[in-house]
Amino acid sequence: MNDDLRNLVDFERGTMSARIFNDPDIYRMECEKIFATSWLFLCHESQIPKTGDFFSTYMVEDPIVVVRQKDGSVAAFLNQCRHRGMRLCRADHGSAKAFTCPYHGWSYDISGKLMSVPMEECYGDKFDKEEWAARRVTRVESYKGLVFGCWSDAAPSLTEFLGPAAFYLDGLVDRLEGGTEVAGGVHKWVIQCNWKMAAEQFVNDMYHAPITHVSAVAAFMSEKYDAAEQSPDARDGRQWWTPQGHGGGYFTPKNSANPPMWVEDRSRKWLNETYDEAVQRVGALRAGRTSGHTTLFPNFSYLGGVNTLRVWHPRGPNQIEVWSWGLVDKKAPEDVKQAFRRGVVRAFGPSGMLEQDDGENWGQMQVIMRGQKARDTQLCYQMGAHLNEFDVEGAGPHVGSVFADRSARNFYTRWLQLMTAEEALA
Amino acid sequence: MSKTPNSVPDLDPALNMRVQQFYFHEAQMLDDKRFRDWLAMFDKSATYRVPIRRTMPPRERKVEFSSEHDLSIFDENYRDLEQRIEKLETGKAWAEEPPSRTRHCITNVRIWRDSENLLVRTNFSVFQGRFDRDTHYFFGERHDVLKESDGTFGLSLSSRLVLLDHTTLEVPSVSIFF
Repeated sequence: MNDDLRNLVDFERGTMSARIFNDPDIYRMECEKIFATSWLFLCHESQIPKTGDFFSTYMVEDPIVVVRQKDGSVAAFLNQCRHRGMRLCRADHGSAKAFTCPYHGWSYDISGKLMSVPMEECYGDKFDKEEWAARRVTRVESYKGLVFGCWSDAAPSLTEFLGPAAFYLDGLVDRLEGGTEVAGGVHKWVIQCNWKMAAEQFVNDMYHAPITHVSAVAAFMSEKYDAAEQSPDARDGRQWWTPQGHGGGYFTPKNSANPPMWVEDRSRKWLNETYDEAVQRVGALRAGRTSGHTTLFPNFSYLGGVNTLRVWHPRGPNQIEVWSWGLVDKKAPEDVKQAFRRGVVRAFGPSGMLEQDDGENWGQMQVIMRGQKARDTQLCYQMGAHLNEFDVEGAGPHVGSVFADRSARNFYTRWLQLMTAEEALA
Repeated sequence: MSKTPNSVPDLDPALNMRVQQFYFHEAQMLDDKRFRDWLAMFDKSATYRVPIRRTMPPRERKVEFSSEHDLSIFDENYRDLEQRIEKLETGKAWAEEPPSRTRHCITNVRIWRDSENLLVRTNFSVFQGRFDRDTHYFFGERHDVLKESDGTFGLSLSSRLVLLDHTTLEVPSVSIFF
């Protein structure tokens, strides 16, 4: 299998086989070698402020309950009863004192410890409830409000896992004093595509925007639109990547907050009003870098400026559930928060004027790749191979254009490294 | 959620006929892709919102739908809807090019009069077909406020709240109106 995999990805030539997007064996390996060893986004701390507040999510296809504990920490456990495997918590979110299985009534406390078993005497003396706690997610850590979980003991800490990607992430979550919170409500919808199509686009692809989103750009374009300043191909940009597989791209800001054209006027005003504070906190590059796209390997992506966060939850090799959050500055006044919420809904929710077009592409690519020939087609990942690489302090290697496949090649290089590792690497 | 009275709805046959025909006409505008004519059935100050629906524990079921202070599926005013139509009119809105074949079926029309307006609840089922085998269904209820005006059959839509019967949406995007 490893040799096969190495034949599918050839970045000497800059090619990759379409097969990595739909082969069921590759998907099974991804679950073991990538998702079981990586830090996966679970939720935002602001979703579960009080003891007992919970949020139901997934790590790939495993349902997970994330719960605020009495001591303020966050615990996460597999949403599965240890008795017969039934789902313990059947609500999307809420507040709980305990989780009681609806099948036979085994009841777990908010940390996942088994507290009571109906007719426990029938199990005899040797039965020990302590052995039958819900399966805890091995490690749960937060980074400035973002809660991640990891199944692997061997994985590095969350901070090490983020590596240089934390540099740009700070431009989103640590831009202002007080940090960020998420809006109420999570968008959830289904695209019949492989998870890597979405992750790859957010790690790498500004190239698609003027074509895929041409209708949205036309509709959002204000009369004040200045092609020389705002048209994507006329602007300086950069692409960056990290050894952990993360990466992104952005248009280089010119001493301004640089918001994308599809944010609301009030959001734009807020980004400009708070620009000076942001420069003081994180410097001009990140204070202004609000328009970029990013994926944190493997399947967590965000867009600055419009402030959408999303996980591409795989559902087998041919389907994803998109779970998408809207992020707002905690200290912003209510009208600003409302403007950011509306911006997320109107541009990047399931009905989003930009989002609509992406689902269209990925779904049709996936259908085509069912074909015997189509699945073995060599796809072109050669863009920007000629570009010089340079370092940005704190953020690692970059190229001086958003139009490149450099971050995608890095993403799949990391993917191949983990997939072909003898032992789970991480 | 919008408030509808606890009383039974209005039985006035003429009113019921007029409102029902208003909705049939509206559905026709959508299914015929006459989106500008559809929008003309709304007031300029109209709002159009589709909240997110969630599975909630029993004690919290009153917040099954996301509020106006949360994210929604749609959160639109008249100008926003117009902007979406402008997007469609470019002919390059790929989720609607080629366009969806839609069929809006509007049933269970119930009308209450308040002092100035009509509060109307309707059920809907919408079929969406694209290409050869892409088919999707949407079900739900619409809570509308209708105003007497010089619009179609003397009515116009001043607000619409669409309550979907779906939580996770099994569509690659929502590119149609309800």
